Amino acid sequence: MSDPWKQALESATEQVLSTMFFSDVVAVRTAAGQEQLGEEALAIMVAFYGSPSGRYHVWIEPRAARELSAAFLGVDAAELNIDRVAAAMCEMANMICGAFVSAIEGSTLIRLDAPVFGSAAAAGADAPRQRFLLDAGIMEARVDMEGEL
Amino acid sequence: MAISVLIVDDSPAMRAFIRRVLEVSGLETRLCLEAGDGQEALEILRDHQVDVVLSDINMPRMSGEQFVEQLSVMNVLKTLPVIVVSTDSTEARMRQMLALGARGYVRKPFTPERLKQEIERVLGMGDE
Repeated sequence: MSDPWKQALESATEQVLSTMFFSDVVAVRTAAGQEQLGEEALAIMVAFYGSPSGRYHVWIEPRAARELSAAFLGVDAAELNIDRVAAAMCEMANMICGAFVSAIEGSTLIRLDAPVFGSAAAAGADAPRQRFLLDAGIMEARVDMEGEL
Repeated sequence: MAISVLIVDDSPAMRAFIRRVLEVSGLETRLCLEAGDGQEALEILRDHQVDVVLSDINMPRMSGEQFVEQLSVMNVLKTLPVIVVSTDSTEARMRQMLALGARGYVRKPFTPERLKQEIERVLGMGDE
C-alpha cells in the first residue's frame, strides 16, 4: 500500500478510536518480518466497493478489544460477553474502513459490506500490517486493494 | 424543548452508542425509539410521531437511501427531518442523500457536540 494510503488509514484509525472509543492511539511503522499478532487476536474483515475496491482487515488483542468495547458501549468490561465485544469491534472496523475509503475516494459512491468477525486470518495473513498501540493493547490492520489481492 | 428521536441503524451497538451520546449531549429527549432498518423504521413511524430521524445508510432489507426515498414519496419529509449518520463521508454520498431529501448529515466518527449541533440546526432550535 502506498504511503498516502497508509497515512489515510492511520488518520482514520486515530479519528475513530479517539472520538468514539476514547482511546489514545499511536501508529507504529513496523519493519518487514516483524512478529505480528497471532491466532489469539480477534479478527474482523470489511469488504468495500468503489473506486478502488478492496478489503480492510483488522486484528486486535482480546483485552484491548474488551476495553474498547466497554468504552464504546458505556459499560464495565466485566459485563461484556464475546458477542457484545464482537458487535462493538465490527462497528469499529466498519467506521475505520468507511473513514479510510472516504478519505481516499470522495467523488464516487462507495459501498461497504457488513463486517465479518473472525475472518481476517484468510489470504495473506503474513503480509505486512500497520500496527497501532492503544491504551489497552495492540491492534494491527491491513488494506488489500483490488489488484493487490 | 424535549425532543423525540428515532434511531435507524442495523447495529445494536451503534444504536446504543447514539442513545448514550444523546443522553450526554445535553439534549432533552422525551422519547427515543430504535429500528434495525428502513422497513422497521417505516412501521414504527406508522404508530409513533417523532421530531427527528437519525438514519444510517448501509442496512439490510431497506437501506437509508430507500428509506428516505419512501418518506419522500409519502410526502412527509417537510415535517419529519432525517439526519443521515454514516461512515460514508464521501461528497458524492452526501450530495446524493441531501438531494433525496435528507435534511442533515453527520459523519461517523462524531462527537456528542457534533450530533447535538446538527439536530439543533435541523430542528431550528437555535432560533428559539
